[in-house]
Amino acid sequence: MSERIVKILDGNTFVVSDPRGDIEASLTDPTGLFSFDTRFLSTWVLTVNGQRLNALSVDDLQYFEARFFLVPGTGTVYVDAKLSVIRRRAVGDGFHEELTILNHAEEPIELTVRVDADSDFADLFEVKDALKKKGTYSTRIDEEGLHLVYERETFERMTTIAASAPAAIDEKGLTFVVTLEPHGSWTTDLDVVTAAGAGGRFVRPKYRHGERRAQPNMGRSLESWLQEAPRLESDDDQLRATYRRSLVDLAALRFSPLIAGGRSLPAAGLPWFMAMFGRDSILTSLQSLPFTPELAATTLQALGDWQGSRVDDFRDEDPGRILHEMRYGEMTAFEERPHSPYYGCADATPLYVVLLDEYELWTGDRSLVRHREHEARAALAWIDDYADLLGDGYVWYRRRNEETGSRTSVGRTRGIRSPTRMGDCPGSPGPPANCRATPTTRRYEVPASRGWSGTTRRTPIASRKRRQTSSGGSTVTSGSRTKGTSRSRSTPRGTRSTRSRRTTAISCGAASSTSPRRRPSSPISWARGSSLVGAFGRWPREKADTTPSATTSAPCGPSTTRSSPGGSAGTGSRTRRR
Amino acid sequence: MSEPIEEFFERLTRDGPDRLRRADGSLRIDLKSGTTTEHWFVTMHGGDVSVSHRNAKADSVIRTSKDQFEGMITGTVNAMSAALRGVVSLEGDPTLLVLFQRALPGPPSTATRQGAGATGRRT
Repeated sequence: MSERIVKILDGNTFVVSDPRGDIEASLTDPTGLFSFDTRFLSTWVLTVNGQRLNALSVDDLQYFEARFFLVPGTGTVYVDAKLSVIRRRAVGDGFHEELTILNHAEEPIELTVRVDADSDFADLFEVKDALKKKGTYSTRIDEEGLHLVYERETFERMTTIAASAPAAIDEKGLTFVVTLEPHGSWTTDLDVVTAAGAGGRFVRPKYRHGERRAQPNMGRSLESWLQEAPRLESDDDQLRATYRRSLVDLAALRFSPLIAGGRSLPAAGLPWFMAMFGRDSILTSLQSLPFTPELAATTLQALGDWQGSRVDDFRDEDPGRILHEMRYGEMTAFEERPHSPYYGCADATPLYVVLLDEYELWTGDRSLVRHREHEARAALAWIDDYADLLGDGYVWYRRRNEETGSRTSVGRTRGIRSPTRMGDCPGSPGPPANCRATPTTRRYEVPASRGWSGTTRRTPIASRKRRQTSSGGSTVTSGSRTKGTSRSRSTPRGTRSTRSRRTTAISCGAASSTSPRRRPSSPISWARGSSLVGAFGRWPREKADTTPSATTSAPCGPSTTRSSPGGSAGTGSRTRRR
Repeated sequence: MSEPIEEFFERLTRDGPDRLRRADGSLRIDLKSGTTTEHWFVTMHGGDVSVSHRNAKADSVIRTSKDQFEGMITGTVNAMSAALRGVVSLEGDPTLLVLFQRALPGPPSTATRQGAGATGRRT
């Protein structure tokens, strides 16, 4: 679509429409109401007296709701200023739309208001690849409203459309005959509900008439999300606005998988990638650790529970491997796509161990790390036993699912750069390009003497020395009362504070009088590093460090001092070797 | 009762410490064959697995046909895909259901794969 599109979403349910609020999708045109990777509405067109409407403006009120201000007539100059049409739409378990028409004239007016509705029930992959459907369509009209049904063997999906005002319902939509008094108004609520089966009871959408309070599919509301995040104090209005916008955007990116028990993790992107992705969920969790560490906790839990346990070439699954992408659409159901879940990814598994370590560093929550010992060990075993295809100490990527698997280790997701091609796999039967070394992998050791029992793993790997690009900026301190003392990035929640060079500070909760927390001895520690530095704002150490702490600088600005894994008693610091 | 299913549950009690260490709770599997329904009641705790035929309330319930379940335990049917298709219905604690999948094998046609790291090529 060349014109502006309007997107609102709630988890993996989202609506993409034109600025009028209309949906006119085709197999290749990605507009519609989508939920669980299926398009449940591909046509949603409003007309008044047979005329399409013209958009005056759109309010993107929240990430889950939008308001469209319209007038009858098309073109750049509207023809009838005596009528105003307002559509207010909120998405959640389908969507709720309040349609209001205002008569600004001195005379009464009779209108025929029509909403055309249809669904192609396309899988997201079918939209992407313009594939044809294999099932059958039907419609049903009863006292609940209009039911659009798609069936393929035992696979059933249904969209139900209901209106609060009296309507004549046919198989292609709803018609309202409206009489408006002078300066009068008319309104109806339209509910569009998605269902995974063709039977069952009609369930209303999440939002009702007049409801404006966000109701995310997770334990924390938008309000509590904002309230519980660290506070930013600054005399820079732009910085404050940017920070708040970032928190709201992060809230919109939250996705609550069924196994998360109401907690949320960051999806890969909205709206098309509102799904669990190994790499994306982990990287966003890493980047938001100072602000919303609960995202990382849920990511570790959900990805850990879905960790690979068997060898499956179709899904590129191995024991210990962390998933790449999870989808729920028809093509996944019929195994025309391997995303149930798909594991073809080189870096999600090492990144999982990275996140486990970083989570413990930032939060001090060792219980979660201990609880995930099995997954961490399985991930490390995968790196050694399955990922090191050439036995040279590098993680290599080569898909076994040549038909529908991800060709590169970063998948085929748009907007993500491809990895550097490090070389071809000698002796590999497939095309050379199918085998890639990933530069995004770190190595870890698991000390037998600390925390977990087991063998110590020390894997030599070529270290990559990188130029430090310190640019100054804010300083991370442990507690707002510790100026001038040894600083640690690793502080428990409730005491951390970030201060910039001038008058900006981020604080979380009440100021604590406790001393800055030392980095606890970690069950997982760095052994060798590589190149994800920019993403994490941290330099990996070249080898296991025995000094109490090391000063590091991140390319993005903050300069921090962090304690060593075992540095519970040390207070000194030194500049990191380069 | 069919032989592969009995063998699977026997194996489950032995393999529990390896495969189901993280699962904690009870799972009932209802297998329909014609007009009869067979119940398998599995309790899992820290790798200890016990199996009975109790038709009792459980944290999670899997309902499917005997044929589909035989496919799942032999690796020819993927449980998640089958659930999305609607041939397997899942109720209750979803985490338990995901963790139970660890007891199910991969496709039989899948070649055993390991990288060079596991075969001693790395020095």
